[in-house]
Amino acid sequence: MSRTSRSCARCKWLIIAFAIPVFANDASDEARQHLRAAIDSADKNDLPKAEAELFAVISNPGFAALAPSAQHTALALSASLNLKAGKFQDALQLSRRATEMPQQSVDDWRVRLSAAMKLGDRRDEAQSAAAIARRWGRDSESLPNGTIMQVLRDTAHGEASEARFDFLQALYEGRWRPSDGSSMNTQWVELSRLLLARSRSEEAYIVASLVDDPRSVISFHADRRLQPLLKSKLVHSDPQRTARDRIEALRAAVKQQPRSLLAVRRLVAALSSARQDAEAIKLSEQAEARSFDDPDGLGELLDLKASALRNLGRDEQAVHELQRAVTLRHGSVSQSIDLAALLCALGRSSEGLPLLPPDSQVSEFGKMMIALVRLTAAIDSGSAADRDKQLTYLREHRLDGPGVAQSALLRAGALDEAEQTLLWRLNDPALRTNALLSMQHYFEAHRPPRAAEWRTRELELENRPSIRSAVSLVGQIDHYPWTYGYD
Amino acid sequence: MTRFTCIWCGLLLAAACDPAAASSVEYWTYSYRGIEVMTSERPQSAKTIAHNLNRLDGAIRHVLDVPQKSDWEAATRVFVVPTATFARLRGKNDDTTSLFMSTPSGNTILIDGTKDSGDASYFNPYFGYTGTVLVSDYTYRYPRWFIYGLSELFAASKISSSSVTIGAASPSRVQQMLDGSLIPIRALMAVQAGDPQLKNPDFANLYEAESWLLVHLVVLEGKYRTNFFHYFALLDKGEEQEKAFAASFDVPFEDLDKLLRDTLRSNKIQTVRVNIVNEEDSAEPTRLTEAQATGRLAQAATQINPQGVDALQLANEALRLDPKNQDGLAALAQAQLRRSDYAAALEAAERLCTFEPLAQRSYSQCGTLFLMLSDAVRNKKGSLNIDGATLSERSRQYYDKAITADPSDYVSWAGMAETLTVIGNPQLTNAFLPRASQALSARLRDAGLARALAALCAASGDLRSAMNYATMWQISALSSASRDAADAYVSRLSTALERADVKRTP
Repeated sequence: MSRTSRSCARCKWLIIAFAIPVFANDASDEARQHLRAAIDSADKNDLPKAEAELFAVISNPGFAALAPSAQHTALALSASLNLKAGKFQDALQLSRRATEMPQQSVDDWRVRLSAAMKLGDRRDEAQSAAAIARRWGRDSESLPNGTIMQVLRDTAHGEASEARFDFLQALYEGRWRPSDGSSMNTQWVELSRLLLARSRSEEAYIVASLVDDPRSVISFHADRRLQPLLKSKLVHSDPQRTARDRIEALRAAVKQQPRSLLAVRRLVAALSSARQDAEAIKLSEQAEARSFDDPDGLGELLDLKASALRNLGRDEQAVHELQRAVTLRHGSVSQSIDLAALLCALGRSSEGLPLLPPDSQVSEFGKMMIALVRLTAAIDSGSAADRDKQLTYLREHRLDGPGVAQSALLRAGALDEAEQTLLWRLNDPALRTNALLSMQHYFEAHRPPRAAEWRTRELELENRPSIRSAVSLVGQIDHYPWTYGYD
Repeated sequence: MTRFTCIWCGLLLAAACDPAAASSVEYWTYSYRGIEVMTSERPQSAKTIAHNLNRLDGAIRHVLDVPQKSDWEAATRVFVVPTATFARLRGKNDDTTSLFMSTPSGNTILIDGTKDSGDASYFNPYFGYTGTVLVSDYTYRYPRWFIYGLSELFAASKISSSSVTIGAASPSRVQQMLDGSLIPIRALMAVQAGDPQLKNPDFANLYEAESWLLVHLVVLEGKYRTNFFHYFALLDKGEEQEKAFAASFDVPFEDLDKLLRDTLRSNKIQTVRVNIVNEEDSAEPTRLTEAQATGRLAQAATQINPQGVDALQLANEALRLDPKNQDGLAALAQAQLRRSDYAAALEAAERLCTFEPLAQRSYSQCGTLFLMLSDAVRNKKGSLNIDGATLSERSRQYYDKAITADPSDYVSWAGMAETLTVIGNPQLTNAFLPRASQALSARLRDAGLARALAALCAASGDLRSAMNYATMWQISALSSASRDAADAYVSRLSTALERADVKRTP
């Protein structure tokens, strides 16, 4: 090799060494110009142009040479525009990148959460919700009540267990409470269980010390995984005493807030569950007589009163009260479904069918209940095609209401399949507690003939050897004659 | 950008004890260094409470090693009322004897004068005042057990003419701890306001007793003091309890349990005496007419129990006694707003605000009432025969008069900023902002004013100033909810600033 050629080789390296930054500068200038154009277009609400410009920024080789804040601007804006355009996969990818940067904002996480929800990416959904809850969770605008409830529903099953655990921890740290005033007992029981499973007993006790409803305390006895909680003095261990204390606390609340229909409703529900139906009915009637300007609240009160009447065998009066509730809460769906379900139990399923609201107005669980009513009507009328159609729906959506699916199979006389369903519930870690709760021996309330027939099948199912064996491995069955149980 | 309409972001904490006898109703009022006491008890007790609270303030700051009170501290209003009135103001009747509430605009302490011990120990005023100092004037948003424990620690102070003695043990508290097994410190520290365990009287009593003892050991005896204050700082930044503890202590929770047990066994605790001489003051308490007193109580009810019916009833009672009672009219309008009865609220506001002459406080209240009414109209919450712009302009005019009459009325400064945000007139905004900035410089820890100025600056496109004010709001937010809202606001502003920078950079 000649000197010249060696020299030229060195020159080449020099050229390359200088060319890279020059090239990068050009490219980053170009990227910056696209970014400015994108922001201008977004400000002028020309979203397609903004999106195109942002694509040119992010795919530009000079993107990496942009200042981190400019990179973040591009990613955040692009994620947000993609979400608006319904390009959820792109929105998720871009918002992930934005949230990995130190400049991450609450809105980046909200875009990521929305995209993950749309795509059914439950892990990312729970992770995003947890991140928002930890940093901005007490600001209801950043993490609205409905979003939290949706994440809790979406991640109840499936592969997001670790992310859900983290989300529950974040909610616990902020002592999050639903805006309708309902409790988080079920979630705190779950978090306690998950902490116990991680050998973090002391923390589990502290979380479980927040639990103050009798249903959850029964679960501490019923589910073997929860039984260690009973060792702690911080945790309620006597369900009947818990029920009594709760009723006393609710009585005091009603006394302190005599105009609160919500306080009355809670007391009526607690009294009725603890077999104090006569008082529950009397209290309902007293509250009805007062001029509460709250048709929704009154409708729910009548629903509770109907439940107490049923417990006492006053079924026709229960039907009447539910009919009043449906009239009062015109357009509300839950009382319509409850009335239709009661009519099924009374052997009048055909009367219930016209009451059912359209599927579009109800939750996934509501759809399961509607399918159960339709199934019952199909069985009653002997319509095999409709029976099969409803059973297919109930089987395919059993995660939306495992107990409802099991009841449907029993009504259809499919005891073996119901057995498999109950075994599935007992074996699934997320479903087990509810399955065990439903199998405890509570006081047997009055049931009309059809309902009594279904109950006989249920008891027969629970006495099957496979079921008894499964229960003995994961929990225990106790007697609670002072309550009808807590659904 | 977020716009905030919430004005009251408070914290309520209550003390409880056994009920006792009732007393007569004749109200006296006395004001001293930003502390206004209204009492149904002996007139001189108003003066004693105000003076003692001022000296207690000095003692708290001395013990906690924080700066002494300055002239711009938020006002503190103390109401000492009979049991029946106490229950009406709260909207419920139980064994609570006092409560305190801190908002950016000031502190309110409500005391059941009938149930108070009556031995001139002033436990309840001291309890409430300590809580308000911690919540509103201090460095961190403290955990509940610390606020409670410190309030109880200072509540037992003995104040003589020349000194304040802190740390006396309450025999009943000590007995509660000796009677049963203690709550593990880990569990105690995890308890938050509203947790259901606190509804159990046995648990609540033990929790309070242990909180008092733990705070005593930390604050007065210096046990793990540095560790605890590091822990508080981490909690304040949003760290989880377990992680904050692990990062602050090199001992396990169980060592703190042992510390408490050992202290109880030793039966010995220290007290601290701080020399603070009482100032001479020739002013005397003045008697309020029944209408004046009822009007003030109606105002208090709108703050303490906004959803209750008693504020409305008290306001009407005050107006029956004196149809021109300005406090009563303001309370009536506020109560109607809470009930979403906008037509009635407007009518009451018109009655109040067209009086001549109006008290400075009423100008400010008129500004707030018209701001809230304009918000209701703009957000279609209520329909009135008047448009939102007219209502906003009236709000602006009243706030202007309130500020002119008293430039240290920071509630009106904040209200004016909110009103100008709604009006969106650049000239008015530009004329107002420099003056408001000067006002805030004298009151850096006013979260309400900082938040309102941040929103105004953001609405006018001055994102950098908005960020400065939002950061002040972040630092001085009184509650966790307000802090999270401030954090979210700062987060959004940062993104907006990034975009603006990208656009500006050549």
